[in-house]
Amino acid sequence: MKFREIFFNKIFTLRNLFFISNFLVLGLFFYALAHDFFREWKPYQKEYKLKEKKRVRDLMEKGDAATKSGLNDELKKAKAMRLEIKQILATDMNRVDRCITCHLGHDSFTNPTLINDYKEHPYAAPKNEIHEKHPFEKYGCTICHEGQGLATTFVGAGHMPKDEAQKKVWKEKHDWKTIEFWEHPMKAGPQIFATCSKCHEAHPPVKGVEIVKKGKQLFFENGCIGCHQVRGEGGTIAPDIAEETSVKPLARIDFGFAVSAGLINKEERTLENWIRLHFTANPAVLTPGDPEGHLSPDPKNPQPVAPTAMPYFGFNKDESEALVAYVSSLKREKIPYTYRIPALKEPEPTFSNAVKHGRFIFQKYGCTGCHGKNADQGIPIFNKQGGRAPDLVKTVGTFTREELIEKIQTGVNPEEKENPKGPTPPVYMPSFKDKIKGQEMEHLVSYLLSIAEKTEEW
Amino acid sequence: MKISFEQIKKEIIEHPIWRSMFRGGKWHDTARDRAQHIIGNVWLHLHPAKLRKRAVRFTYTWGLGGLSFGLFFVLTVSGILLMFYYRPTIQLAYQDIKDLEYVVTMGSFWRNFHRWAAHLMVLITIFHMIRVFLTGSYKSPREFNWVVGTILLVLTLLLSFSGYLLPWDQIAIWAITVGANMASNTPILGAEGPFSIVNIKNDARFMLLGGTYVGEAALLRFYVLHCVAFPFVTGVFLIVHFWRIRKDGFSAAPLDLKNKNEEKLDVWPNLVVREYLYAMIALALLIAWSVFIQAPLEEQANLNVTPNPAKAPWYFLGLQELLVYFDPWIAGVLLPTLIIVGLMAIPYLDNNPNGIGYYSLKERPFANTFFLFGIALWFILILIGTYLRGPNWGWYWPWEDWMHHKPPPPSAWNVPNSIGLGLLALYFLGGIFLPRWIKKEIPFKKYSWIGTAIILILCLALKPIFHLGWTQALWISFAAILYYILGILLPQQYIRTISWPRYVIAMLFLLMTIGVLLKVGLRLGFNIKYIFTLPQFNFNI
Repeated sequence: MKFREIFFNKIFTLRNLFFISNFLVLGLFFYALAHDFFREWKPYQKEYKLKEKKRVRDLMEKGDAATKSGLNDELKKAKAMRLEIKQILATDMNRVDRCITCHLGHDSFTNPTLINDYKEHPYAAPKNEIHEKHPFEKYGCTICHEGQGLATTFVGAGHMPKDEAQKKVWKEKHDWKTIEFWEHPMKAGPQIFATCSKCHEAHPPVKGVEIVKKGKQLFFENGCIGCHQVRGEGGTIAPDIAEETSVKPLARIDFGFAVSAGLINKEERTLENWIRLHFTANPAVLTPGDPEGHLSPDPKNPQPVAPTAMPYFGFNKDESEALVAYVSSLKREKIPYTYRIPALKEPEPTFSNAVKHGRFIFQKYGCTGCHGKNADQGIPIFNKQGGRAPDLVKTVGTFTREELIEKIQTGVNPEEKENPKGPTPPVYMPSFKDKIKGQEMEHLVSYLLSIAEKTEEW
Repeated sequence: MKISFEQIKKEIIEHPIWRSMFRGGKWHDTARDRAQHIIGNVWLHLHPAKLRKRAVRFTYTWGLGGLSFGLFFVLTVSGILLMFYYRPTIQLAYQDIKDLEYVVTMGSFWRNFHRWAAHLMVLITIFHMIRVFLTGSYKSPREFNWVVGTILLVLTLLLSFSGYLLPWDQIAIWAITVGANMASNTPILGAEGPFSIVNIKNDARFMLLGGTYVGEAALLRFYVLHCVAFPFVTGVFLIVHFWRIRKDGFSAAPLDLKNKNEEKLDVWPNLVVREYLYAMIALALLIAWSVFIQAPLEEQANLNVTPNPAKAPWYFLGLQELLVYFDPWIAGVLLPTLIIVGLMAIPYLDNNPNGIGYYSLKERPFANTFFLFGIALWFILILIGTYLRGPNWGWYWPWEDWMHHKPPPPSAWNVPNSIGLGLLALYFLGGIFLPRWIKKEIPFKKYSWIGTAIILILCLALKPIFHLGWTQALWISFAAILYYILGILLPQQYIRTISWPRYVIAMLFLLMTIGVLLKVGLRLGFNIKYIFTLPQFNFNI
């Protein structure tokens, strides 16, 4: 008999196919069940159960009869531990957090003290004052740590590595990648303290929160407020870093230029990294605009767009991290008001003389942002005549006191263009008429005149 | 005592309890018993008891109709399972989907299964329609069942579309926003359509969404439509569809002309086991697919953040792509209506008595070419919309990254109305009258080659005169050849003798279908926005 005949008459028969297909579907369905049954979190719970049993038994061996009987209940409890998804319903925080499914040391039913001696993650639960003061049953986890509390997988939870070494380990061990489609990945390393101010708006004197305070100080010293606002207070030239930047949806961020320039990996697009890039890289590379008008709809009538006005400040790593923490700390959530501790308005420092007060005013209104920390170095401004903001030490001397006040009150808008066909300069000297008044203005002008380079009079 | 499998089977089948479940007394496995098994079983009795051999062959039906129903069935089952965990409110819907994903036993599997089965059902239903067309199975007496089938296709799309919103994530609300905005361009009844007599608070879109944007009311509406209304209506039409299949004769498989005494096959077990087999293989594929490939779920819906681009579900992306070439009410309302009406009209227009019950290009050259051309066009538009459109609906090749910015395409220009109208008239009148006026038989192959050669030479000659690029010259020659062969030669050859009304309607549909492709070419190759515009009536084509 030919093979063909054998194949069609004996093997590839309807009866055989009927049985094979039935077993195939049944087998696949069992495979789907198994796939569902062996979930990522289960080995962690098994491991924790073993550890707990071993710990209690070790204690029992060392101790006398009395401790043994005392520990009996604990052993029973460890033995009775069931494999299950555990979750915290933090209703006030509007959250369901399942982190304790793996991080069992922080589950108050499994480990009522919330402290254990285990060293490695996810079992470790060291003594932690902040955890003590914020019971998990009430607060959950993600209100501070961020991440996707609903998830029960490593990647789904939105874990973020604190450094390159950890990232490498995670990639090998957990197949880690940045979480997609979740706006709030976890805060890593010192950045975690940025979330305290969701409630503690005044930055309490707690170890770790310094980073936010340092960021705030840098923000003040560098005159960011001259262009940016914080909840409506400050310059109107750039986005409000509290209302817009700190809660910016990823879909609205254009990473195109940063990715093209190789500043960031496409997979690492997060809001935090976007903010960070503004301090570690030249912002004009992130937002180069379209100075030649190549992207205008009508090439015959190009509409050039200037690059961002934000200069490159050259912050070092620590300063950048501090600024990232500060900007992130401005994010607000809908939390019941009873949890919130609003910041009182900080009293302004007092000064011994007009010039010193004037210097403070110079910083307070963000003049430093464009004119330099000591009014001696103007930032580059695209297509502005002269190409940069004036170095006040050189120019102020040419003004009289009255002229200077007038100039500050009216501002310069629009700035004159270097190349008339080029885009409008992205930043201009705003009018400070409604902001700096009376004594503040007098002292500011005194300060400016005091630092003006003396031109020889003849 | 030895117990064999056959013995046990016999004992069971002949047991009084078993026999009480299946009508027909003692089982003898005779032809009569097998027929009785079909007739006496409520689930199987929509089958005939016996069937021609040809109708059972896999390569005849490909099992597509049965699979469409099979998928409808498993979708109902998986949908019921999902309903236990899903609450249709904007506060809870997304979280419920996350719970299915991360917590519920087999939740992720059933969600994936439901999603992938739904996509597969749309695809299989379309293939079923193609199969029925190519075998001429819509011809008398099955004309009306083809119409019912078209209604079922539309219902399948609506079922899938309404389910798209329920996960309440970004792709969900923006896909529905795109779809619902098309409704607002309906003539007369849409606020933005031509001759509108309504405003945004009482137009077609408002009725669909229960509001002016995709919100709570829209979610509840789509939930009820998806879980109750559409399945109910689909069920009603399915019953009619099956009933007509049964009454009109299964699958239109013709008599074997060589063998007048051809013996028919018993449906039990020959057909039933095959149907079961196809269902099982499809099910196996779906289960494997659902285990390994996650259904998409994006960020929670946010009306303040519009993704760029916002795309409709894939089966409507062809229509969304048409928005580039035509006014919204034409692309989103008129053309789909014409497609559906045109599909329903097919059996009443096509009175060619040949080619019923088998695949044959030779006996139905015009019908099959036209239909396959239309299907190809539909899928080409879908492929463009899916793979070649990026931010701002710009043209991005698959190897181009959406991250990197592209200048917008040069602005399009309108052909002056007088020239445009002339061209349109030439196109339609030439296409309608030329094939009918040439009365004599012309050799098809020879003339196709001659015409193609002349067009190519003309295009080569015109290229330097009008400073055309190579792609533009290619487009022009392709368009001319298409019009010449499909629009003139083919109808001249095959349908010039049918009655005038049939002929004119068929030609109008054919010319409009070719016209859509030519318009695509004009826009992409020559930047022509519209060839004829009446802005007063929003009539821009």
